[in-house]
Amino acid sequence: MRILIVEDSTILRNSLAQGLREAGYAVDAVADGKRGLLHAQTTDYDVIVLDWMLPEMDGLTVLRRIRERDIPSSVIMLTAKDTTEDKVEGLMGGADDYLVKPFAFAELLARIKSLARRRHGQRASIVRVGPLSLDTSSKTATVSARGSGTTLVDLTPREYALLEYLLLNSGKPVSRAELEEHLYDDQSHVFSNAIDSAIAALRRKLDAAGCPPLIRTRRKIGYVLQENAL
Amino acid sequence: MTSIRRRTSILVASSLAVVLALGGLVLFLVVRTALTRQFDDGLAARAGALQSLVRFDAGQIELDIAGEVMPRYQPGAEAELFIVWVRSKAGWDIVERSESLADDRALKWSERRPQTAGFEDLALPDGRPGRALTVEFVPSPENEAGFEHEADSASKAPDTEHNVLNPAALVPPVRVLVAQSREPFEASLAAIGMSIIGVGLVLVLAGVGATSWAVRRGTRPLANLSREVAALGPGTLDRRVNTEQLPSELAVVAERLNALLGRLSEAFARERRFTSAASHELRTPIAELRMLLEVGLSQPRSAQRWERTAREGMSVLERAQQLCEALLQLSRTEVAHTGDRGDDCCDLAVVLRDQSARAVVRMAADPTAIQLEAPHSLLASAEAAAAASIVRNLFDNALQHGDVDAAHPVICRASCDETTVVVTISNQAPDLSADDADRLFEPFWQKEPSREGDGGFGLGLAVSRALAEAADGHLDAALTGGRLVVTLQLPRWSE
Repeated sequence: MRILIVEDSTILRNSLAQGLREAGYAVDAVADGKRGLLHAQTTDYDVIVLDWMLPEMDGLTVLRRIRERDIPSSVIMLTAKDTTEDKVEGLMGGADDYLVKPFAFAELLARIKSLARRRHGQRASIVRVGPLSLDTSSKTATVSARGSGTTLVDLTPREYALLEYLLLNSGKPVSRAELEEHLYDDQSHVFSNAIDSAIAALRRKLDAAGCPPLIRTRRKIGYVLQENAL
Repeated sequence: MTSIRRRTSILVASSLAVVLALGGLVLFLVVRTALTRQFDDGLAARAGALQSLVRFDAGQIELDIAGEVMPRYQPGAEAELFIVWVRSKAGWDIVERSESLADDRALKWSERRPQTAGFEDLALPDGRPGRALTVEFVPSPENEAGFEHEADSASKAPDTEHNVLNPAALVPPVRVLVAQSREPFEASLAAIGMSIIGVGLVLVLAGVGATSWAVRRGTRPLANLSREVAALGPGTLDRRVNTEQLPSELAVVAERLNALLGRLSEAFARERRFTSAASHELRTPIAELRMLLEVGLSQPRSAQRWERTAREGMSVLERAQQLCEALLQLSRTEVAHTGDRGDDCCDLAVVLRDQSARAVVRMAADPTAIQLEAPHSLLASAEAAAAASIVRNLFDNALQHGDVDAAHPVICRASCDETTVVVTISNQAPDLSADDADRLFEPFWQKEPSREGDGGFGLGLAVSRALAEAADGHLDAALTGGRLVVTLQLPRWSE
């Protein structure tokens, strides 16, 4: 999952970015509205965390431009404006959620997860394909094999993010470029075979946990995760 | 709480009732007097009639009724009565009485001593209330011959010498009492009295109704105004009282009220913006600190990382402290707008020269960035520290937002008249609108709502205005030809 933070407070922006990266998200962070809009237009973010009072272009204007351009990213407004009128204005402007400062990081994280799931048509926090289950709340993957019970799959944050994206888009082919866009932020140095290497590692770990092959390679297209992949 | 309508209705109705009661009483007394006079005239006529019948004939007083029956004086329920007395040596002897005094009780009643002439209220023999008239007169002799004859015979008596000389003196005085029941009179009077009371009550009730209607109709604009004003509250300050249908007396009140509401609404809006902005500014450092600590605690960190977090936290706290101090300064300055400042004096020209030099250094501007045109000395009635604070804020703002490519980004001119010292500081402001100029002095207002950059809170100009007003001065701003012109006016100092 890739997240854009648009926040002019350096300390808040950096703290949020660090916290979200540590939670396994690819995070880009900018300090003003104009750059925020530019990023939103050029990258397919799953969630945009948008401050209201911003230099260059205020958050509400950025939000309206995002909606005018039919950018599908979910937007959560992050602001110290706490009146009902402000919340209504933000939500009517196209925000998917609204969080008043100061807030708990855990709450922001839960809202981001919820928005990310909903963007991919998932409401429940547990996503299943065949014997593979992914709990987006605890960020764990398990495999239910016949006779041997449930096995926890030990994944790195990057592998988890890759599996989560494939599972949320199960049945649909996902290109390498799309995976790169959603798994790596601007600070990451991505090698050309990074996705293929990550897929290979993921397949190995799922296989070791007793999971039948679920990830199929589509030549010149990318990957698709589905049951009976063979 | 009594309403004006109710109070006025009660007052008018009470006044009407009192006036009608007094009028009814006067009318009753007038009617009573008239009826009494009429009654008395009747008694006098009867007495006169009887008087005309009294004869002195053959030395005797007699009533010349010649056997006539006088129905008026016959016994009966409505019978009247009379008694005729003649003066004798023993007193007053009854000469004649009406047949209505025939029974024993009446006879006994008629034995009463005649009163002196005049009217009197009395009880009739049958106990009914009555009124009587007693007249005293000397009857005229029946004829001259008879009188002479009597005179002749009288002259023979030794003690009648005087009578011979004055024959009329031989006729004894006579008193006639005529009495009549007052019952019909009293009944008529009571009927008239009841009629007056009845009509009066009807008039009072009608008057109360008419008064209530008239007062309600007359005070309807007041009631409407009261209703409209009662509906006003903190949430409806945008409403205004309708003055179109109001009478001139109330229209003035309503117009003043509308003007007051306008000012109140503006003050409320300003207060809301201030509270919202203050809340916003105070929430931000809290959010920053919370996020620093929450994210820091979410995973094990190195000591070096914690030190960095602590330093970032300190910078947040320092900024929060600056904000609190700026808010406190604004609050204290606004509260300090009282007291006598007659002794405070500062040379504003010196302050301007000093602060312009400091501002250029502080803002790292070109030494010629501020063009200062001021006389050698300008004494103003203001505290030097306050004046310096105002000027410092104005120079900093002008240098920060002025066009750095211009020969003189900031132009400052100072002058004075007899009462006021005026300082104008102007700079290019292509991004500001006229509305922005009005909001410049609002606490926390910033054209660019950023918490980074120059580190300001948007309180400087608000504090400056409060300081100027505390010194009985003014600080205003206007946008003229793309330049922002801030004008400071302070009272000129005089010995």
